[in-house]
Amino acid sequence: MSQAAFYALVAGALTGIGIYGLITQRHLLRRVLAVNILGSSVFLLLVALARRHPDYVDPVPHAMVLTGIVIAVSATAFALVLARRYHAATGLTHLPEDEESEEALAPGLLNRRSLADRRSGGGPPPGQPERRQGARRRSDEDRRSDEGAQ
Amino acid sequence: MTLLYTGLAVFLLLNLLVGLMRVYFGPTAADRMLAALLFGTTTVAVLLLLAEAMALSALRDVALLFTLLAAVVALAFTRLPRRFKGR
Amino acid sequence: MIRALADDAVSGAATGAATGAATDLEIAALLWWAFDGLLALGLLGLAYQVVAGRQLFRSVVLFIIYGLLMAVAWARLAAPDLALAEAAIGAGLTGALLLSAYRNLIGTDGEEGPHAPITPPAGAPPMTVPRWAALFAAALAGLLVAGIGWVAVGLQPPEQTAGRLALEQLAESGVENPVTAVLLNFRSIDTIGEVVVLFVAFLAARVVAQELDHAGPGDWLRASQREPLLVGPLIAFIAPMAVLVTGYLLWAGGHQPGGAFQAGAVLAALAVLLRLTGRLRPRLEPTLLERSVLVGGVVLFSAIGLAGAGLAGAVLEYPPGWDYRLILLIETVLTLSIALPLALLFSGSGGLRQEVR
Repeated sequence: MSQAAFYALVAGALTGIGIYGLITQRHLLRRVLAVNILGSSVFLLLVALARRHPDYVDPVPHAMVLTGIVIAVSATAFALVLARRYHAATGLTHLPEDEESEEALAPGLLNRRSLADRRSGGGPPPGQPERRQGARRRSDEDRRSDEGAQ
Repeated sequence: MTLLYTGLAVFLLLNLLVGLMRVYFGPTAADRMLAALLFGTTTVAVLLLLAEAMALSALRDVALLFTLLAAVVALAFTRLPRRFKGR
Repeated sequence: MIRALADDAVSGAATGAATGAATDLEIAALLWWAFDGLLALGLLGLAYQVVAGRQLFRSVVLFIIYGLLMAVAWARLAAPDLALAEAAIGAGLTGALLLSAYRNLIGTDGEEGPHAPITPPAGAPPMTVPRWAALFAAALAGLLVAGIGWVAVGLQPPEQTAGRLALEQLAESGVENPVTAVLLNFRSIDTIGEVVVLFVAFLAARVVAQELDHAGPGDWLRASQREPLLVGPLIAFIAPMAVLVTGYLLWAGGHQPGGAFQAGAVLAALAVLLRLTGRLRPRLEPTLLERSVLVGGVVLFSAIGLAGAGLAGAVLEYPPGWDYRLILLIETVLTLSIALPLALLFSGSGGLRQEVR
């Protein structure tokens, strides 16, 4: 077995792991991680194939993967911005289509909201940017826990 | 000499894999993060050894980059709220 | 079996070597196989823990380590350009991006709350896909990719590949690094497309991002909590070094691994560092200068490419004798055009301004 074949097999196994994670995990951050692993497995396959020639290393797959790495990080950054916005709007970290049914979503959302409201001592007035409130609440808790630690 | 470099690289890689236990078991987030930073240093050493053993001098630049940018992750970690760093 | 592996690995180098040296080569080949095997083991174990581990923070840290091992894998596959890019992006950007996102997403939805519950809370639904189905899909996808790889490696490689062609015509490209030659001369259309993708990612993030202050230094800005003592000297040391390394990688791209992508990533990592420590603050709208840098790479690259239609006979072809100078000019502008959107994507803002202290 050559080195190229070995790494191609590793790339296949990584693809399997990435797909598995993508399907089974619901947390948005974990899905982003799974997509990144999926991407790196394809990169690994391409670079392994660049190594199969006995007398030279093919620069074309290297160039493709180089652009791919930069695009992967920009896509990751965009996905994370999207996840943050989604989280700020709904308080959830997983997508609603992962719920078993549409009805399951609504009560869950309601419960979550009322819980958050209770913790912050009264819900934000409608139309008020909710996120600010949450941020302040969190930093207050930080300060409390910091004081407790000292 | 190449043989020695390769052997050392294998040893360091083995070291890194065993050290992953610390990341796995924690118990605090700081333990995990410090172990990851240590692995950054191990990777630098592995890359320097590979640069010699594979006669690829450009790998020294890779080691340089890891050294330079190690602080970014460390700083990003320190920005986590303190209550999440405890575990 | 091991002997066969070793023979296979050294077959090229061993021919003509003395019999005494052959044992050394065999040991070396065995060591290399041990190295590759450990590396593969590490990559697979880390990948599994990243996607299936129980704790989210642990997964994020393990993914950062996965990036380190990936750089070593690129090094082993004789792709130093990729190892450089992985180092710059993995260490400088991805880690900080994930940790910042983690900071924003934690604490509200089950998995990693302040008192992480053992059972998932009511809000987090149970898995909707049965485990066997996920395993089946994963095995199918994995076998497909591994099969493609196995077959493609086993095939007799064609006599004339794009890569060989690129290597043969390297002297005409104006640069000595084949990867830079492919990126900026033979296949420059792809590189333009890539910078456009970066720009579009930035625009899309502008549409959805609303918060200005989620990637910053947090409570260091409060008067009651000063920033740690070591941050100042650290920045004072790293910032000039990062600028120096950016310039070095940019210049090195012409004749050895390096180039605009790696240099841009290092510059972006520097911006991330300054943003994390509050030296750079977000601004809602980009200034005119930032706007021109954002589009500068695409505009300049396209202009030179179109000018090639008149001066060199084909679009995206450089006039003879001007290759190196034009490539260096394009790469310099591209470095900035790659670094700025990446930095702004991290910051989640339209622009950046210097903090007046």
